Amino acid sequence: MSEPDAARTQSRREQAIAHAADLLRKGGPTGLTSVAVAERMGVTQSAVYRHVRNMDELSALAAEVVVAELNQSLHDLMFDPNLDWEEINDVSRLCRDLIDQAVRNQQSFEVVARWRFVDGQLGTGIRKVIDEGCDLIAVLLESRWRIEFGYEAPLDDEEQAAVGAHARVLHDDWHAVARLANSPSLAPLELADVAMIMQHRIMAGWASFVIDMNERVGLPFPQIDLQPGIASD
Amino acid sequence: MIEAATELLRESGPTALTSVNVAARLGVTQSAIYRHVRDMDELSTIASHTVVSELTTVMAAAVAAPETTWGDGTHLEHFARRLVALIAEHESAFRTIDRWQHVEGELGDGIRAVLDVGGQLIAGELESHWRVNFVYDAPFDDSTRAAQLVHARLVIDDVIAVARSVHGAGPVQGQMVARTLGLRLFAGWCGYVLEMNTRTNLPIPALGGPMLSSPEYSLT
Repeated sequence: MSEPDAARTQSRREQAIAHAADLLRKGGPTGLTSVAVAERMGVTQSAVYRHVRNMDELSALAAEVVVAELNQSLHDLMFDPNLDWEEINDVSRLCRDLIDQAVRNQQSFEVVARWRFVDGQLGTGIRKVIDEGCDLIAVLLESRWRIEFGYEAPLDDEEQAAVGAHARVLHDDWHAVARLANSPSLAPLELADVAMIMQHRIMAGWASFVIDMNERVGLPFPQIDLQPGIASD
Repeated sequence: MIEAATELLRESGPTALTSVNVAARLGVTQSAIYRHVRDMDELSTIASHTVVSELTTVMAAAVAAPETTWGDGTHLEHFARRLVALIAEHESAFRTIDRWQHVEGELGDGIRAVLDVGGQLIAGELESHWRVNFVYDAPFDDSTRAAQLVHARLVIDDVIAVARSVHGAGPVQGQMVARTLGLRLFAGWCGYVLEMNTRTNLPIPALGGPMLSSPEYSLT
């Protein structure tokens, strides 16, 4: 294959992935079919398979794109330089923003719920991106905790694993609450209630993380006042 | 046939529940299966209902044990160790939940229904412990009741998340698993207390206690 041909094929492949990702964003797992991709590309269904091996591969690649987008928006919200974690109002605002983000990206969350634990490339691909999302939360937890307790020594493997474990459950909380926000049977709860539930889960999750880490590294047990936010002093 | 499917699922998890395996176990052809059930979805629905119900029954008994308390860290670590042993015995049920709880149709509906019953049960446990701790007798409004149920359901999700580590698919290893689960159960309780005390205008207690080498934390 000459170089321009290779480039064109590559770009058709990228187009197929981009269209597939968009179908997932709009219609979730059931919205992504070879028929729909072919229609968007203006080609026949069989022509799609010149660019990707099969729908499993295309679904995997497209799912990785939309799940990575969820991570990116989580990153933008959590690492917002204007966010003060010791200000309860800031934490409340973050939770409302997370719920807004969940509602806007309902179908992307559905992709995770439906495909995260399937076999093959699809599940493996999604789990890899989810691990990256958990790593983001772990970085935030560790840095917040280091600032809070002035701890500078490096963490050993087990301490690092503990940070990862807490990050993972908080990540799953985020997805569980996002699904709740989009549940058709949400009433009598409203989105503001869901944001409050998320805030309470984050505050309590932070407290249990601090308990764990401080005991591990031999820091005194803090008096954690749960009332004014997730700050402890 | 339902028995064969249930055994397959219980022994080897959702990946093993295929028409080929069911047929092989019964010594019949694959097509013979479809004389008795509509499709594999129907068979999976029935089998998963049994396997997940077995799990929730066992977990419910552990949660409802009279010695269970929620606000005491030392106790929760013991409690978590018991749960981890149960989790280890029910790997297939947890894999079934992970694989199918969010699918559409009767298969997903069936699993979600079993988990919702579990949520009701945890909600009842949380509520009775909370009412004793905070001496609160008044009834809850609908919104508070619904929020309580969400917290209970999230406790179940925590157990499911930690179970992945018990079964070797998560980041937590060995002894750390029970500790992590204990801390998560504690976090679940704290989140629930925050929710309920905020909603009923009760003061939020401080989380306290010296811990260092002997973990001793409480929120009651």
